[in-house]
Amino acid sequence: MVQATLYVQEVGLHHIGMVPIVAYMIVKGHVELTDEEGKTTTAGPGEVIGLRETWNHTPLAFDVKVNPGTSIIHLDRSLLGKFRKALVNPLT
Amino acid sequence: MKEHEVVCYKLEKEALAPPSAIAMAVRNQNKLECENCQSMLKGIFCDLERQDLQSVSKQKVTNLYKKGQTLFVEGNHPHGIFCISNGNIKLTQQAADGKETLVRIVSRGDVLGHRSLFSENTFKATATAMEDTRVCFIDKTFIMDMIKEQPSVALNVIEKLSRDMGAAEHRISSMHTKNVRERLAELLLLLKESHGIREDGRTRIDLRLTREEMATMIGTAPETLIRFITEFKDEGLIEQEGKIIFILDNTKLLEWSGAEL
Repeated sequence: MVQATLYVQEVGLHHIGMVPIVAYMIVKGHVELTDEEGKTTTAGPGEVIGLRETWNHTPLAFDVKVNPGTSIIHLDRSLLGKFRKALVNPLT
Repeated sequence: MKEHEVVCYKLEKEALAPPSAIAMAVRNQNKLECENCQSMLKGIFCDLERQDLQSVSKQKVTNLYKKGQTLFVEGNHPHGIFCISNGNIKLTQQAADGKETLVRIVSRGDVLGHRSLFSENTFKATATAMEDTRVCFIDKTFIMDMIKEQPSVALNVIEKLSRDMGAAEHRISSMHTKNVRERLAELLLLLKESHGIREDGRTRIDLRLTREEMATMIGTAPETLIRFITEFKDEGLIEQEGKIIFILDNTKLLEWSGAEL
């Protein structure tokens, strides 16, 4: 079952240059993305971080840090596989 | 746009698109096939048929963690299990006063996160790479399906859980019944067993632990540990070259550990 996880404290979700183990879909709040030059941007509700990288097994070029009060749905490869199957052949 | 529509849209637009040549090259460089893994015979998947191993390889995510990088932090939610291909990972817990306790060291062939996975709890410790360490991650859904379909995987997970439990019980008992000298001797024997390399008539413990880390492993203060290490050296049980410890006299160490011979 897909459930959103509420983060009550600041947590590092991902190290720059690593292959993400799950993709992160932000439901509420926001996360900070820092690239290798130290430039920081934020991502908010509805945005998905690391989707392509998780699926294609490629590194994500950001450090990802979640702020307190943020809710995130974690999308693992099994779940992405199910989405893909449904998209390729919606009737199965 | 609804949440699921956002995912489907992104999947269609991004994930389903073929990766670039550079991305493919990076992927191939990182990806580790289970069949070629150094810990293949020590892991929970060692009894699987080639075809099933290939499906694990296809599903998993492999990363190289640099020394000091964390795999997960105490309080994080588990999304699957981590299999150690090579290197060492330390599991630490932080007390309210900020003091860190080294709970366990895991090395190649070990899995991490299996207890939190089954208990639905958050991680009870922080996992940090002690050196450059290659680790594979397998998501929860896949591993649960695998356990249902492959009894050998379930049995191997149960075996790991039983061994973890046995080690934890033994540690609790040691803390209560043994003195610091005996606990240090026991720790050195355990490290010899897990990380010992035989060379020049002695055994090198292939692990760099700080005195603070060793002290927390046997429940004592660093000063006390240093005093006992000096005693062990004076008595010819061990010797030291920098941070590296060599075991010289296994029999005497066994005797000092209070183990029944």
